[in-house]
Amino acid sequence: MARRVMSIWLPQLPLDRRVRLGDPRIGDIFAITAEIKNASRLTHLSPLALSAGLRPGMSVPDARAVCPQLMTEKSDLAREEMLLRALRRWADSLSPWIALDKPDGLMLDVTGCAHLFGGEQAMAEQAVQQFADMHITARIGAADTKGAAWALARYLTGASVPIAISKPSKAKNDLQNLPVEALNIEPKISADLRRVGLKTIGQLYAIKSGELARRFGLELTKALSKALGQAPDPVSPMAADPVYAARMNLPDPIGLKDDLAEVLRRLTDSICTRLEKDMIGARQFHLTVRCVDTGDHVISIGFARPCFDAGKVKRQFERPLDQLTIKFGADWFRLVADTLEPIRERPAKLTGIMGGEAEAAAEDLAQVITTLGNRLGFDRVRRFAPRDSHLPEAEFTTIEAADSQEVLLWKQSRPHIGRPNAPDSPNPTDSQSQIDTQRKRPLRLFRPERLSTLIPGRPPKAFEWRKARYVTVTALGPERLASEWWQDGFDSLKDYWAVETETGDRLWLMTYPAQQQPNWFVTGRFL
Amino acid sequence: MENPGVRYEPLRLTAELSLKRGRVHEVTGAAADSFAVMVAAKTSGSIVWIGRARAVGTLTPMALCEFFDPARVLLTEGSSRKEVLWAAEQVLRSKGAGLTVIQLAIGPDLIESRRLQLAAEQGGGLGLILIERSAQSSAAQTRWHCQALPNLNVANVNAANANPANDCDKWMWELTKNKSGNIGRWVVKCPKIRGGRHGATRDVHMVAATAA
Repeated sequence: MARRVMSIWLPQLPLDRRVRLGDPRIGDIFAITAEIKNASRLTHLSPLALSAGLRPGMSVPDARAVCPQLMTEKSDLAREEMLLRALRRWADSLSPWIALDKPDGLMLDVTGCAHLFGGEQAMAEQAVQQFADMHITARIGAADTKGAAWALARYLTGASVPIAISKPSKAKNDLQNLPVEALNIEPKISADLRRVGLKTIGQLYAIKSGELARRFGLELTKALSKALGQAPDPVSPMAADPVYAARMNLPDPIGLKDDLAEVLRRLTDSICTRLEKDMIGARQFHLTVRCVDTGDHVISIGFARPCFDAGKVKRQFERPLDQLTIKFGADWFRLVADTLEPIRERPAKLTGIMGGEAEAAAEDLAQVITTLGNRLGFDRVRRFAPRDSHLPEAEFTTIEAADSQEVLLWKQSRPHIGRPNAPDSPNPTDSQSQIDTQRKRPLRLFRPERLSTLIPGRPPKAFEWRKARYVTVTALGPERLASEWWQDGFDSLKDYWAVETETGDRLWLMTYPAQQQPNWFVTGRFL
Repeated sequence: MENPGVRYEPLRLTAELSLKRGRVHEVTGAAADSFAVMVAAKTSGSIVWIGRARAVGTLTPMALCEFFDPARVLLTEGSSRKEVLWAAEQVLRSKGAGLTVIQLAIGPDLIESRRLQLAAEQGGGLGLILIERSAQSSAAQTRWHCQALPNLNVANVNAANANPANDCDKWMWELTKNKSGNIGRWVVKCPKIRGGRHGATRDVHMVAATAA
């Protein structure tokens, strides 16, 4: 059977993506921009932008000069490719043999498929209609070869006629009036062709391919012979990305707890078996529940470790699902696994070295982090992380525990200037011990709290803080710290004093040395 | 009746003093933090520190460094007392944490502490409740009152400067309630300079108060 190829071109893909996101600017003078030849240039334009005199390829400043109210958005190649991949999955309904034609097309081998739709014309019409339903503009060309289909889709279609089909073995005929650019060759070659007066593909037929190759390179003759079917050019299909999502439509709405649990069980089982087979774990799961009266509700749960255990997923969903108010029932459910990560099984040997118990404890802790995070929020389960700064409040930060996979290295001892090496050395000099104790940091660090001085001094000899009186016995300091020079307010100096009081409380006092009338603050409490 | 708490190995603080695992212990007083930190230094595994934002948010890893690796600490903030207690129960019930520190303004009542106690028995970990203001009657195994002690008189400041090894942080730990065992008082000393064979962490000495 003769091969038939269908090329689907999505000329407005980045714009259509904004439409699907519900971007209201599409109805206005709007353009997608990209970095081309060292300038930010317009690539896709809304209809109003086109009628305002803007053209693709204009640089943004030029376009702004023409039309100051132009709004732009940078193209997001990664997201556009994701959309294209999703469409490739959808295109499975047309043909089983599909390749991506990046950045904005699909190439389908439709040999033996068209009759299922009632012919190629009907098939293409249906596809265009379905793309339109998804708010995506599509142009379709069908021919014997990839090259011909590509050319037809891009150069023989228009907004009013989105489909161009060439009858079997009529490609040569249909291509002859198309411009040379339709061969999908480099712009430099097509410019060369135009310079010598070769404007259409038909004009190339008359020239011997050897002569063409000598003058314009092999690429041109290859493209030509592929488009005309003289050289093989198969569609190399790409497998669709695996989807870890499951959906359930019910004939009647349900609302009972047991029914919901059963739906959840089926959905999680279906996803988790797929995840387990591929050794992939998900850090997030989203469950969409469509209630008949109140619309979609999305419930999300997270995991501290990537997980494919159906039981764990169900357990985490139990509580939020229980809290969802379903008055008149829900009849549509969808569960998606998100933030996927490969799971590596640890070799038995290593587990032995780590100690089975330690491993079990780590697994338990991850489970606890998951439970706490899902109820309290993952931003409230945190770990310390070191930071490089000399300021006490900037010496460390906290990060979400669920995200911290890497082992954080804490310096076993902070750099203590002049700290005696041998701990038992009897007489470290005074200055050494002075510095050592000066660098001590409090266990509790408060935002500076104003204290009221009772007996002035430097630091105050007696003071009141948090409704208690303190009498200073010893004070070590000052430790003078300047803020980091690259930050604002660099000139602010702070003096810190470690104060021990009569009752034994060890506090960290702070003052601004530059002030005339010294204000004193408590910023920390030592252990 | 079988006592499930018994089957866990107690955490030994000194030769004579130990804390039962699978139990919840209460700590009051201004220096309650010191108790938690010293006990944490003796445990292995993760330390989960649970409390309201203002209680957990003021902790700094720089001081913890002197006793144990701050990477072991997991900070958990609850937005209400109820959430803090719920989180504590979850953590105590799992076997993931070596030590669970719960910071509360007012100690747990009988019901709350009993729930925590049951969770701890299931998990076998150690629970410490740091109480900022006042304790209530509760089902905790022990209750400690911790105060910092002044370590220096004005007179011997100079002496301490001469030999920093004598310069210690001191606390009085008073065991005011014990469900099984004696009560007592201990003076806890910790030299300000890091000691020990490796110099990595600070040594802790506990002496019965009568002896000190």
